[in-house]
Amino acid sequence: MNHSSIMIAIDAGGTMTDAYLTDEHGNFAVGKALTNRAAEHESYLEAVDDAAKVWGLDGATVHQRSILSVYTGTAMLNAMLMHKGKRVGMLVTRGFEHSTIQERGLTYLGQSYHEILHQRLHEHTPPLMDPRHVRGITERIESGSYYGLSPAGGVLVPLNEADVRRETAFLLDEGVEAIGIVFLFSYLNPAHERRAAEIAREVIAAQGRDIRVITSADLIPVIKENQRLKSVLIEAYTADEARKQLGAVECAARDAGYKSRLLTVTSYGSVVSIDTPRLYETIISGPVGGLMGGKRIADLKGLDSVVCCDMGGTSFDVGLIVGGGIGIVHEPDFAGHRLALPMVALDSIGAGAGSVIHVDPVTKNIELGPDSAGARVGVCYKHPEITVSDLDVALGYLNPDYFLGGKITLDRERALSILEERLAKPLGQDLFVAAEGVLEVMHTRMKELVYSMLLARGYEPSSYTLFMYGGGGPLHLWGVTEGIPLAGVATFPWAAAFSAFGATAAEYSHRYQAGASLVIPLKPNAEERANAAGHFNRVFADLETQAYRELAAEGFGREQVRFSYGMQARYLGLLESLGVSLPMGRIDDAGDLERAIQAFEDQYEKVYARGAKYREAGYFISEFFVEAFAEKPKPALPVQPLAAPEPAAAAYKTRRKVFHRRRWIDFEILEMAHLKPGNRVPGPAIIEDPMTTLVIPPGKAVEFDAHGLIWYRDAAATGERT
Amino acid sequence: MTPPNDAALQEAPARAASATTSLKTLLAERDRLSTDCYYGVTTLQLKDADPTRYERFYSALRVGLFSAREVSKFVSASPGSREMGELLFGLLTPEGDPIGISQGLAGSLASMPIGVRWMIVNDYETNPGIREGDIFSGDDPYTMGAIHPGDCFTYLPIFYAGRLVAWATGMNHIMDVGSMIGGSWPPFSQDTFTDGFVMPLSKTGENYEYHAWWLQVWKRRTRAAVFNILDEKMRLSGCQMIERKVHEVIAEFGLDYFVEGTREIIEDGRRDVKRNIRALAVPGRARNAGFRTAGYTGVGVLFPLADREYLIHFPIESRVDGEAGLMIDTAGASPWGFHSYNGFPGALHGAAYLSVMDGYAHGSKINYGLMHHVQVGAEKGSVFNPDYEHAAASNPWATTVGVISGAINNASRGFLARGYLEECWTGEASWDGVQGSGILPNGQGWGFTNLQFVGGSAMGAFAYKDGLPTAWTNWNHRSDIGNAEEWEYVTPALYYIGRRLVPEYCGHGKFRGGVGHSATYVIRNPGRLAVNRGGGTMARGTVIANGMAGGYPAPGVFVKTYHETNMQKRMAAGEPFPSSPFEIDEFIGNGQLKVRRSTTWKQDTPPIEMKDGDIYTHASGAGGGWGDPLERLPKLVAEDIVNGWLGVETAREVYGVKFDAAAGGEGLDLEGTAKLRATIRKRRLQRGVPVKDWWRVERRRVMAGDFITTVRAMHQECMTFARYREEFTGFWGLEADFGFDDEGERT
Repeated sequence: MNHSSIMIAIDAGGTMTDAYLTDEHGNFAVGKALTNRAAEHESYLEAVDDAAKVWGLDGATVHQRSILSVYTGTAMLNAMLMHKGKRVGMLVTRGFEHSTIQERGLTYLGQSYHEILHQRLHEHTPPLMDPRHVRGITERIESGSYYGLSPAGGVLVPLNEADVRRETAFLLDEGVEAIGIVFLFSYLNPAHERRAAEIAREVIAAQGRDIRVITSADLIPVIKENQRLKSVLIEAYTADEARKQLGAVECAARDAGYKSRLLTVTSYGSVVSIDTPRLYETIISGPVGGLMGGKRIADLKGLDSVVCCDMGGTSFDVGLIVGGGIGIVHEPDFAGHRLALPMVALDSIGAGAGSVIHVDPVTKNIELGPDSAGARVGVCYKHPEITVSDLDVALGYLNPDYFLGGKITLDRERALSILEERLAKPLGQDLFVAAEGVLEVMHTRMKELVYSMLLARGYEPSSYTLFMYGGGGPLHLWGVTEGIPLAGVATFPWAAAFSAFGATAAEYSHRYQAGASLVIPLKPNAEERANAAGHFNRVFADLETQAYRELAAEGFGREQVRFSYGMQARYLGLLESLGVSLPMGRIDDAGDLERAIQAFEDQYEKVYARGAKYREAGYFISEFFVEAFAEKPKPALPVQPLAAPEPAAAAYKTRRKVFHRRRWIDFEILEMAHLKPGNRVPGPAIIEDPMTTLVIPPGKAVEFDAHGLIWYRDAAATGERT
Repeated sequence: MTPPNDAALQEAPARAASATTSLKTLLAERDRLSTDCYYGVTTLQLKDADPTRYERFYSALRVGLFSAREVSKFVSASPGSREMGELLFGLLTPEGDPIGISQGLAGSLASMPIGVRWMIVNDYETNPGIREGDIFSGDDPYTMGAIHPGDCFTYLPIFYAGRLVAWATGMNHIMDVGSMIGGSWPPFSQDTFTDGFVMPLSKTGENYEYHAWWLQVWKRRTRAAVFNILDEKMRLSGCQMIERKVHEVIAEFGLDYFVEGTREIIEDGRRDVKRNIRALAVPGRARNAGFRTAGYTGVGVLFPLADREYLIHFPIESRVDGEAGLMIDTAGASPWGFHSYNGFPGALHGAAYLSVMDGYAHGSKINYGLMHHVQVGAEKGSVFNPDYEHAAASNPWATTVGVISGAINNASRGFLARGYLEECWTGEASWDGVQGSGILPNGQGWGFTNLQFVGGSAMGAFAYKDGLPTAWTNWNHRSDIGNAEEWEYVTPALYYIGRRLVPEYCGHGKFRGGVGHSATYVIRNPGRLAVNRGGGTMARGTVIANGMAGGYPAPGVFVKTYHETNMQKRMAAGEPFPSSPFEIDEFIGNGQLKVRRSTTWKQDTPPIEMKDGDIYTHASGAGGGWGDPLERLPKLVAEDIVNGWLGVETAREVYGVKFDAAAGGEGLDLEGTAKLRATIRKRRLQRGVPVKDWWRVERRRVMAGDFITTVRAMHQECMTFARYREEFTGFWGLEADFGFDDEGERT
């Protein structure tokens, strides 16, 4: 087969680097290599080479034929976890020098429910810097408050430039390698931060040093000083080293024949050049790819309401596509830090294929996760504790001889023996009944997460299509979706590599935001309307200018850039804003302003119910944002001719007994590689693939459509095996 | 109206529950059957029959509660709720027993059954009627167990097939409670009538919509109408989410399973707690004592009944019996008085149960089962159980937090005895808040409470490590002090000029408590503004942070105000300004800060008028120490000096560590330290006297009434309760009718 136009997506994890290749026909190939943390470019090349072998090619040929390479690395996270980042100094508003120690009192981040209740276990996250290197600067900008008694962004205390010079010199004497600047309310008026940065650079230059100075106003100009500080800190602490690693990967790719720029994935669901000035925006990219893939498929299928579910080894992540767009959150928690960072909205629970199961022999309480066996799978392989995979092997869903295509053999007998001891006996149940029961508990929790994502936001499941992917997704699709009245359910032959597929499918875009403090009364007069319109238009124009500048540096002309616009709005008095799209982009007349307000009202009612609205309070715009898109290639998902519903004989491998619904049933076992578009597989059946396993219970069937998507549906009344 | 817990209910006939069974009947049946086990559930039949189905059932309900909190809080306007999660949702049985709660202000679990029971006992079912979509709201400590009126509750009855099957409830701490003093914990209140807007549970809406009159009441009776109305909407929004979840669960599991399953969940929770107590505690009793002052002298012009100094005392005795029963008893506490710090049982129970959650509820289902198993005692007429229904209760959390700390420390003794070293720590429950009210220059009235230091304080020391700063609160398991930038949006005129930790502000010990924090504000463009302080500890009465195993207690809270200063001038000129209490002293000392007048408070303040350029600073949240400071590793002391948490003088005087500041990181003098510690130990031995001698001397003082008036009054008042009298006279070998000549004023 001719693979002449290839896209590469690489996800480098702490242990393994996964490579995903796709070509102009929608074919894909997957490869793996052990991650070389010290020299990620080497594991990058090894992984590409491994995937290339699937197509009978080598890495150099793949690179020469590649039109895109997207890479997500580990350098930033590793620097944080290993405490091997830059020595950072921080200039903050006088009086806030202890912010990195206090870190808002958030000592429970990343803990399980039971750990949160057990408060002795609460700990501050190590601050990544010496707290003595947080230095106070005399200056103060003001908010204006909700009561509007003074101008938002007004100068309460002028910047004391002598303070800046003195403290910068102190930090340099202390040997800092990067300096961050975070002043109160700088998102409303960046003048003090920017002037302080100028002075700091002068002092640095005078000493003949070359040190990066980062201001929060330029990195992430939004409200909440603690989160801004964390974001600046992480950019200062990790970005330079990560940039070196990414640069080395790009060099390696180019040396191998790749001709374009290396791209990386942002937390808000796009790809950007590795030269992006805000590399910290790429720090949370792992769970993002799947949503981007879901978006690509949703666009292809004309679906604007999709719930995207990713079941990996450790967690079950759920995100939504609403109105064709992906929701964004603004304060994600990451590695014990709460950041100011736009990120695709994902909720997660510790329910993955490798999640560890604990049963208290006394109380019979069942705990699932958050620990995970990772590559050690479960007691059926190398992990000392029982996991979800052990249940799947015991019940017959998972073929112990075909894990990773048979590269690993799982020990079912050992799993049965240990499950008897640690699960069945404590619960006082038959082993298989108990194992199925625990799976049901997990499925319930996963289902609840899907429900709560939808219902808590006022969305009806019946108008949503569910996409399931991740290595464990197809295996548990049946349990998660059971009883949810969805519009449709689909999974993918490449479900295990779906996140990587998503990285190739993502838009090239930057997101720009500007904090604001704009009050709009319920019934604004002409002057108030004009003021508001001026504010909207001024901010959007500024953000567009910034976007044109940065995208030009990344090789895009103005004509290649398009924008979308939005705002974060709330009722005056509230503390949480809702993101609202503003298709008009400019406020040209009173009608535009009314439409903007109405868009907020509609969204608010959808999420919080009509009774929660409070128009009388008036409105408050806390942030404006612009997304700037540039063209990039997208993976092909060509329409293929439909084969007959009955799969080819070669697809049928064998039959296997599976304990399902409290009884042993014969399941037909098929091989994924032999199934074609148009094929239909009724349950009870299991479709196996080296990377994943799809379970189709009695009463259900799957159909492969012309794009190769697998639709999971109720079996028809006739001609079905049930 | 009939008070809660009407004994007559106990005799009501039992009937099988059906759509027509009255709530009164259900309540009587519940009380009749809830003896040792909850609701007569002696075996967990559903759990035993199919533990995984049972777990799925519980998971679904718990997710509903968590989800209600996480989503609805975005409707809230209060930084306390939205930013710091000072709210709680609960799912209750028809009789009002919590089946489960969300995360958040977990102590309010105790209030929930009191409110529902009140409605049932007082025939709300008949008038005003309880129907699907009805909304009930209130904040009254006496009738509904609200810890203080600042805690507002919304209840929504949940019906299924025409039958009331559960209640959803939500609560949060609001910004202003409409008292004569602005804020949400009025520190001065004579009785209910000065506590603020105190409302027993009332039907405030129908068909899931509030009545217009109720929203008008918020506008007219409180100073933060927008915030309070949005909070009310937030609570309803969460309750509706819980209702929807209950409907789904019943649709899947069936109504019978729901009814039986929820009772089993409660009994399961009870057994969890009992099991943990059996595993972690030692039968016997452990005691602690709490104190609090109320400086009301001078208020007599308007409130003659309250015009005096109070020293409120309360013992905290934890008794564990051989069957793993636990009683947290405050018998012997001071009688109630004409002050803010009385609390009705909801407040005391909330505090006591929080200490149980801290020590004995790990891995358990937090619900009414905990309450059913653990007994809490307060004598009728005492500060925690007034026998006057209009007693003030505007800030009982200032005293009951002492119960939390005392009971945690009691539990730690058990852990130590059992060898669970990592569980042992010095309980701390310090909190503090600036609050107030005024009229802005644009003529707008407003009221506020800044809850930041309710959201986080330092941990006390552990038996093996130091406490952490700004790290936890007992009442909200997700500690969070929020962002200054958010707070400033809702507190105009108060401009943060510092939010810092305070060096040396901790309980010293072999392991020291976490250092406390401070916040400092400059006042600007206030119009007319009066601020005051509500808080949970004060130096004049160490109710909290006694320290353990020889560690020092944490220092108390203080407030300072500075008036007619040159701050505006300094700030306009871009000159450095002080940003913490101790920096203010330095700036005054070196002449940089000019101050005409200042006030210092080691107890709650009255309203203090603040004007342009004035400064308000307060410090709180310090943790107590564990173990003798002389046993602290010298290198840890040196590290504290280098990091700025300890001064050289304190290192020498308290820790016996010699350190040369001029030598910086190399300044530790190990040899000098060894000698100094030997000297201090010798001095201690010289100062010590046999207990028998000490007792003899002190007894003479007791006989002579040789205490300051306030202390004498405290003893005399406490002796109106037999328990205290017996212990006091017994310990000092006094006649049974012993008393002081000048009796403390008994109100």
